[in-house]
Amino acid sequence: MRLYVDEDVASAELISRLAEAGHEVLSPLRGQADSRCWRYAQEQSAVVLTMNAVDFVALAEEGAHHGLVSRSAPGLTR
Amino acid sequence: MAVLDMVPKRRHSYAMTATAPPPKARHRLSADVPEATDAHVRHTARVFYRGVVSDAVTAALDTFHWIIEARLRGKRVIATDADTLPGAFEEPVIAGLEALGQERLWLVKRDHPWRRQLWIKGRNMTAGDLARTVAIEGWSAEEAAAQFDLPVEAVVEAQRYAEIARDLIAAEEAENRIVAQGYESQRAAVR
Repeated sequence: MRLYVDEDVASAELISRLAEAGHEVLSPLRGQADSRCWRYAQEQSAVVLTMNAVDFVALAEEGAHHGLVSRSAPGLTR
Repeated sequence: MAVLDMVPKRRHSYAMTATAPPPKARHRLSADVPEATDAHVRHTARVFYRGVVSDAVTAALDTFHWIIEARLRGKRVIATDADTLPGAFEEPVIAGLEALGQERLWLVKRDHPWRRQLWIKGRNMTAGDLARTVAIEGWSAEEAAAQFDLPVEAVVEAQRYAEIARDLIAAEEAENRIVAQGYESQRAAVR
């Protein structure tokens, strides 16, 4: 699966584990607005992985997309 | 009850001489406290004093004494915004935290529709998200800095801010959780 890992969850450990599990991981666009990150992920046909549910759900509801995995609590490597 | 040792253990060895040993500059103090107090003290030490419990307890007691003395002199001890300070006032200096809340190097405000907490400078990441991730993963500030390619100082500043702005961060996290759960339910219904 191709994943866009948003900056708020993009720890080296998580990226490494996702890659080890066979996922293609796209590095986050540092300091960019959520809308820019979302657009980039859609251009890359990637599922977005983020902790920021409020803003990315709003973007996801605007139309068709490649997927959104939103965790309301961090600690994704555990 | 947890036993709280304030002074780190050190080994001493004395030669057998006729002279009296020099007076101790530091003293060991042990106290039986509830588990929650033990956790609170250690958390405070970790966030504000690089894990040194004795420094955290000393600074906390100094601040407490400052408050008591001010009250005994008939003063009120309150908190107010910097732009509404009265003409004359006294302010405590907390050892090791003199610059706390004065100037932030690594955290910034951002024009965001609903989030009011501070963000990591140059990153699309809130201070609260970083501090919470560090706590849940059990990383030290150094480990977290390496994990997110950030300066250690930025992680420490975020942790300290998260402690101060705990209520605001909790409210924003609750909002986020509600939206995430709503979205999950909505998607489950579609499937």
